[in-house]
Amino acid sequence: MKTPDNLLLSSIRLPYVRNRLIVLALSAVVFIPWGDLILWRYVYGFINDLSPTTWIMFFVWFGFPDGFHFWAREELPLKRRLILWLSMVIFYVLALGSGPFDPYAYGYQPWAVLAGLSAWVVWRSRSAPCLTLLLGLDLAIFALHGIGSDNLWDYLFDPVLMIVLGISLIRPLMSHRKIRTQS
Amino acid sequence: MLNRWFPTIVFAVGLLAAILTATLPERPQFAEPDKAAAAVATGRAAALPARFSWSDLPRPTPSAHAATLAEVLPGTRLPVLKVEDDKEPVHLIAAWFGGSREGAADVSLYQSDWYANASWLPAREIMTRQQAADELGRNIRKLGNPLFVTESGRLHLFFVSVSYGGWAGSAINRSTSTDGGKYWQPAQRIVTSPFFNLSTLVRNPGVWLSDGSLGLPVYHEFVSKHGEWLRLDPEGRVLAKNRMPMLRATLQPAVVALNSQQAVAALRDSGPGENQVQWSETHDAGQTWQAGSARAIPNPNSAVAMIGLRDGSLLMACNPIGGNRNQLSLLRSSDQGSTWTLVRVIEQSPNDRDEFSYPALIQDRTGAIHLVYTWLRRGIRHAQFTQAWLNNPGNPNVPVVPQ
Repeated sequence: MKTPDNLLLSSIRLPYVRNRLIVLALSAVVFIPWGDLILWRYVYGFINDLSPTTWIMFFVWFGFPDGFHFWAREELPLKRRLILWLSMVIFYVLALGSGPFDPYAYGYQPWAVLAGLSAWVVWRSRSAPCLTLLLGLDLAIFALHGIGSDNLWDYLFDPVLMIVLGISLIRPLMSHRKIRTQS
Repeated sequence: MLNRWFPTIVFAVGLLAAILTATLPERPQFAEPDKAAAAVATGRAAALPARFSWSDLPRPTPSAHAATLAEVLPGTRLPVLKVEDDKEPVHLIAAWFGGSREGAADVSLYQSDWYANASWLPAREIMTRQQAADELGRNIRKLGNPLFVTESGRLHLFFVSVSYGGWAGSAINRSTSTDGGKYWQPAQRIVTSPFFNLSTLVRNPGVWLSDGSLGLPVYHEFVSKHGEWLRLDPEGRVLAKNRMPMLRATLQPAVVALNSQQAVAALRDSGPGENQVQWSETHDAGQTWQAGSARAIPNPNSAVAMIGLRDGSLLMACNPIGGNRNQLSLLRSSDQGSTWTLVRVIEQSPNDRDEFSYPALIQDRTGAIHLVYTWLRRGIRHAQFTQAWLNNPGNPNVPVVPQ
């Protein structure tokens, strides 16, 4: 049985330390000059500002890998992750102009989005305390205008998170399919 | 172990902070000029004799394209018309992008100033690719369309930049000047798209709203080509965004407000087949846009400029021929854009590869009308004329600029 205490202790296990050193080494690469700019500016030119959600999840994963995986299993089971990922895909398809409806526009005067998030928290906060906490931090950073955007959606998720979430679905979905085929 | 209520408390605090700081702008209304000042301006514009002249802007580079034009209003806080302003000569400011060719790494934004009864001043480089990369903190591959907007006591410069890919990968940026364009503040990026902030471009001027916010017509090119309407506060923060739904692919909306709630937009037709100037309308000051029927004006997938004149008519500059951009003409409508009449051919060429395109129009505070446009991709040309000149077109099919 994993308790929060041994989850914290496990984060200093050798494989995790090695993984973190690899991430740190890769992070250092972006400071190498390339032409007139450092490499980070080329990366930033492409990805722009990441959402606070992505950053917070990255730092939790980086600092407490076992805790992160434990949380993901508890609060983001496969079905919920799949629904989240599909919602993001549909959101981006609509926001990029497939049809007259633009969900992104609702993030500038985000009353409907805030109402929706509040309703979700009333419904689910007991079973998903960390997601509730994460949403609270996102909203606080939005209030502080923490990244360059004026749109609430940009504080909740971003295309990089969608891609990472999509990748995280591949293996579970493959093994799920394998189990179904075998049975 | 997290306290049971801790996440909910954090969420509640975040929610409260978000509610307190989220924007709740006033119901939009287009700014209408003061009636007395408008009457003076209308009379002044009507009194100008018929005249036409043209000149070329400086050509610091082999290629130039996509000019924008604005009037620098002396000492005003709002772009309103004042009698005492007449003491100052009309001061125009134009910008365009120039370099070895469109999209090249050496393309910069150039600016030139013009004072009434004088020629254009030497061009000045106001934004280079490297400068944009430094100010925006990222790789910039190329610079594109600039746009001037005159605001209370300052000028806004919006411009397009691309970090990767073609024009569909554009984002818009904003800089301001409080000294008539002598010094520009460092540029800031405006976030208008959730997908890597891809694909928002600007071309035609905005419309001021009564609360001091700016309605800015922009357009989107990635996945779908359509017009959009941004509402920006005086500091450039986005307050709202609305799509201009159309049945065809459209670009570069040119918007004219007709009253406090109504506005019309003419759009470049980027769809397949027979292209015509596309049309959209709003009846709630830009909160929603409805597609109108295309106007009976051919449009070879080229930019359109449109302004409202002091006499209440609409004036459009475009390439009203199928297929190419080798004729630039002026069209006029006296029924709020329902029907249009060709009033003048400004310039044309028998060579289909010649290009007189990307027009920008303004009517200055004295009532004179100014048109700038891309001339053969080699330079920017300026034509100046009056309402009286438009009223007596003679033979409209004869180009007014000598070949």
